[in-house]
Amino acid sequence: MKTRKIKSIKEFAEKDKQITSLDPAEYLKLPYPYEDWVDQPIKDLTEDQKNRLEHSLDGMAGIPITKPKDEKEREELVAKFLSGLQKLLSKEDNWILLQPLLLSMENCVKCQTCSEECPIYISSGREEIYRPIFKGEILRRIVNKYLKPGGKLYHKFTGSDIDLSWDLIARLAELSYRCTLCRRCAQACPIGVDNGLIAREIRKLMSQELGIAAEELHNSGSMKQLKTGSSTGTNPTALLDIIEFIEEDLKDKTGMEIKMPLDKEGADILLIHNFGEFLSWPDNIMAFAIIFEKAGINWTMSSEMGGYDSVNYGLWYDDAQLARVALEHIRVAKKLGVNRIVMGECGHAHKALMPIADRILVDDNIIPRESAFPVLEKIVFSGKIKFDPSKNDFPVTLHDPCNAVRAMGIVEPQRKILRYLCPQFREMEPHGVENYCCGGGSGFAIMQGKNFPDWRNGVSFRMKFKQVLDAFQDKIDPSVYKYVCSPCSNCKGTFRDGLTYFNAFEKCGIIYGGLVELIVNAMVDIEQPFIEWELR
Amino acid sequence: MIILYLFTYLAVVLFIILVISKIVKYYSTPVHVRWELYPVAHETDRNKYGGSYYEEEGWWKKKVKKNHLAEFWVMFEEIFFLKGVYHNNKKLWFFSFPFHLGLYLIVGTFFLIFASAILDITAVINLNNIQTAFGNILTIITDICGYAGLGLTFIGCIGLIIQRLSDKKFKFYNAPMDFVNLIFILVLDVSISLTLVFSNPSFILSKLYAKNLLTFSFANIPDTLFIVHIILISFFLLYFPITRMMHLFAKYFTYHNVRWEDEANVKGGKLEKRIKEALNFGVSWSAPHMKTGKTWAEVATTFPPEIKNEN
Repeated sequence: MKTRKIKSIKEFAEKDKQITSLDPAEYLKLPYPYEDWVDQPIKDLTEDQKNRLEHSLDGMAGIPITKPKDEKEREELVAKFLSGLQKLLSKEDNWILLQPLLLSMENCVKCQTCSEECPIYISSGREEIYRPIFKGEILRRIVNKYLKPGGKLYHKFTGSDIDLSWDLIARLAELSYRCTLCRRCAQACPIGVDNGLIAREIRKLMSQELGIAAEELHNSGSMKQLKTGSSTGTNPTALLDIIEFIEEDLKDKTGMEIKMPLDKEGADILLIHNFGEFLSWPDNIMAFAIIFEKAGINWTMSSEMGGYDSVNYGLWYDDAQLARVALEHIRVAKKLGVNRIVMGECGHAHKALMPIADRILVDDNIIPRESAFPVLEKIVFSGKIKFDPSKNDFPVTLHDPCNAVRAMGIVEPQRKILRYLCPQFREMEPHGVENYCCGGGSGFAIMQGKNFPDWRNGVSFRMKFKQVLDAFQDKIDPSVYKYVCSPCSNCKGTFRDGLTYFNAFEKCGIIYGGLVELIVNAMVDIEQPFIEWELR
Repeated sequence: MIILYLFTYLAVVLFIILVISKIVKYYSTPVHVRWELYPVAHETDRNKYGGSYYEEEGWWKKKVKKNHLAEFWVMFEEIFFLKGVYHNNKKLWFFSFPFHLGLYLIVGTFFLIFASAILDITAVINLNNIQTAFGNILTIITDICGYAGLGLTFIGCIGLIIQRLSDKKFKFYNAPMDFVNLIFILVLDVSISLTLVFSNPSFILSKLYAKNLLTFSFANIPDTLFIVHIILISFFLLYFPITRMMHLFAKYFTYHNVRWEDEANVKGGKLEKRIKEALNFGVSWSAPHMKTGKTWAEVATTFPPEIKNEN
């Protein structure tokens, strides 16, 4: 396969040229039984897509961006980008992340300590444009040359010799969606420069100034959520039908009759799930209900718009959308008069409503928000529920969702549960706060357009898949069923697509699921196995 | 000769102004959303594995204890041993570590030189005729610190230049400024080393020059090499604050104000007050969903115009 590679940073600004193309033969090698696995090349866009959409970064249209009609529109977009860049560096327009951004923009010494920490860079076969500092370096050069006083005079000296053009901007926007914002690079940086943050801020500039964002995050994501109540488009009426179905299914599966508490005023806990659980993993909803009911928790869910879907895609691309969705969650909790909001198994929802929203909430909006993991830990070790760990006597490993673990420090509660309930629990390496992203972070899990899924499954999921295979090498035979505990909806979505791509159930007997499913599976009261061994 | 002294004063004053203005620039930025990364050093016990207070059920009811000693220790290991570089980029560490350690020793020597000058002014020692044990010890410490610093910096500098020239991952991103920074330091290192060999044993001229600066006595310097060195170091003081070498100061903020900044917002607290101020900043982002001209509080509490059924 003929591949293109970038030879200098200046090339990034050149017109009518694809900057790079990936060769699957260069991807990170996988362990047994995947030594001879051959990835298919990323599908070409159709001729129509090529004509309509920008795709000159790496042949993909992840966001996607419509090509400007003429030179005039290109020039307007360039001017708008520069205007947005000024806002990104201003106190009023970007108080939200100004200090971290300035520190990262002004202090990178290009030591490349971050490079080897990036799973996408490594998995792609060390593709230069995916190197963590690449996008930051482009943005830094634009700032130095076009915004700093005298920049056009001394840009060659400072290494800011780059020509701003629409082609460059379109590529940079697309490149900001080749980073999962996992922030492993920032963790490794000895100075504390955060290239993940820079990617996030490029996305923000594109969204808040040019109105360009991934379709799945904006129009079909946060906008749909504000309009209908869920990013999936599920409105409150449809929600009630789904819950009724789940209650029936729960009865069929366990013989237990549990009525999901809805809109119960004055409850102790308002539990908010990622709505993906209702549609794709209803067992997770059932398991939470079983555990909370058995433990005698005074809890509720909401059926009101704004209260039943914890996703907050604004976290990944747009401050206004982030704040609007977070305030909707708070509004519903206040209306119900609950003591606290508990986040279900969704990493980004944890981060959005707990630490991030903490700095936009004032007065009565400051109400306690906490993770389900310590709540579950307390229940499991309270003695209120009887467990038989031998029911979970199969190999289990744990995936750490970046947002809940590296970005929030919730590391041990879920591990304590697994060590207690899963006799064959083993860690991936590295794990905890040094984990690798599943590859679906920052919205990749839901970005299904054009040829993007090929890249996500083959490249960004790859390092995580390698970790899973390594963790299960001693029991890799498909006759031994194995469970990847992935307590995060977006990560589960990535595992579903990635494990299917690699045919991992047939080849290795690997499935994935949440934490609560394992807890319920080990309950003495549940006679039939709760976990079903199929990849779905 | 007075011009040399005046240039040195000017360089020192501008250096201080530029460094302080950079620090003020970072310090005066508004409150920002939490963007911490774990491990957070001050998490008592939990810092060993990267845990946080969010691991406790009902975390908001418990008093947060901060281990400031652990923060200090992590910074110490990072600054003096470049621990992160050692773990994640060993090839670089072999030159970056001596380079940085050498620079710290040179900065230490600088302070010892000024300390010696002050002690001479206050008649505790005599720079021209060191007879006391204390004076001798101070001279020996200054010599060791200075010679070791210059040697380590030289080795580190050469190594880093070679790495930047030969390693593909550096070459792709190299800018003239990256080399100028290193070469400037190398030239300074060589220039002071030459004075030590020919005219400035045990930094005697440096100490006398420091004394003259402190006492505003613009005495003649009878050594061209030393004068060249002083001119170079003065230029370096002016150059340093406009370069990425300022990461020396920025690092405090990246760690304390970003990576480890985990303060929870409580009703009626100082933090809440700062947040309220920020929420009243105006918004000028121009995408359709942004509502240009409103405050952040207004933008956050109203839906985008495209959405009709506002709550």
